[in-house]
Amino acid sequence: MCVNPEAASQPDDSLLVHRARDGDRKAFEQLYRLHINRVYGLCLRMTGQHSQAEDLAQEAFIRAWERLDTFRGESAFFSWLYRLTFNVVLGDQRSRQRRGARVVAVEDLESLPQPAAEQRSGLRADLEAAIAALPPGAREVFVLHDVEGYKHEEIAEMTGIAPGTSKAHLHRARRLLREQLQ
Amino acid sequence: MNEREREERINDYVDGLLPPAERIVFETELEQDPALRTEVEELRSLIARASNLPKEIAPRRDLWVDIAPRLGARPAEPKLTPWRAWGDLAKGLAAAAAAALIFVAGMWYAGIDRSSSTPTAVTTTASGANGAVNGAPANGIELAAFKQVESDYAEVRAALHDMFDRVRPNLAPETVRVIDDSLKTIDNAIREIESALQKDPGDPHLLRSLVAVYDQEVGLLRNVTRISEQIPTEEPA
Repeated sequence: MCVNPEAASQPDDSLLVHRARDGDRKAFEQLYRLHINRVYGLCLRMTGQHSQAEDLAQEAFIRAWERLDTFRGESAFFSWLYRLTFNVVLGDQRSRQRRGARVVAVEDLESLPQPAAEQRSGLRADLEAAIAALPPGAREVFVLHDVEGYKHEEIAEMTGIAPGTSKAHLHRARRLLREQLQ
Repeated sequence: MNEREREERINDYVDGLLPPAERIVFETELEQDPALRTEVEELRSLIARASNLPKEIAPRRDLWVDIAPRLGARPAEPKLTPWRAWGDLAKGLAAAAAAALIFVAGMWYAGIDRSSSTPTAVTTTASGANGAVNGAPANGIELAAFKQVESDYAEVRAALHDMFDRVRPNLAPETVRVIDDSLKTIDNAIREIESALQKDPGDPHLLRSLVAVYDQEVGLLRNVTRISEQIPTEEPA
């Protein structure tokens, strides 16, 4: 089940990062091309809205450009970028929660890519829509744990919640999803 | 056992988090309870479906067209990077070298003036192009003073070269290359002046030029080490 984001990192990332850090925008564009789909996938799954996911993915890459000097190659670039993206999404969601705005455009999720086997039954679309309809805390933890393969301790570190709280969110998310998908 | 505890136990079993003894008890219950088996199977199915969701989703449009202009508006290095450091270094070099030269060379020239019988104004510049002792050969006292200045420079230069060697790995290769080229140019200048001084040891123009080049080297290395201290280490995004 576990999908380690570091495995998605390309072997030539370090060279591109080095060039981008020196101000080479072409190199940074190559990094964007290599990783945009994974970054966008996380943003879309966490928000359930294409337009919001586009804004957040853009913001993630702009922030990565601004902070490249803090990346010294001690971890895989994608791992660093992924966490940065997650922080961007989390910050945006917290900001929205403070403003009391929570809108999930489930219709957006109908355009998510579907493997042929599941496209016919609509099972995947149902699951994506159900995930998008989860309460924010439960959705974040479910995506990170069951979709992306992070452990509770890692999620706790990324989100600032306790591992026990992460577990509680996950169990709630699974319960709600099972109820919705029945 | 309440509903929440039951839910946690089932989830922990599916996630492999139950301690061995509790897992054996749970599996015994599973064999005897078809409803519990169904629940576990449903949960496993949900987790399997979630883990098989595609990790990559292409955006509906190319976001780079919106990102690229914003990169232009917001430089890549809000903090000091090696490359930007070199830009700052290059800008600061002339001022630092000039200031240091005026101070150190001025002290030396003042020493020459004090040793001469005729008081004159000291008007040194970064280029060392003029001064009160223009054209007049340095006497023994002046040369001794210069040797002391030269000795002081040698110590400072050696220490700064050691510091540069220590911070070299933290700098971008391009930056190191530019600094090395600058140091090579300075070294060549020093060798040429020293060679000329062997023919005319008391030439005040040559002595001033040598001090000026020393100052350039010291100023460059001081700036390198100062700026390298500001290069941040990796931090969480």
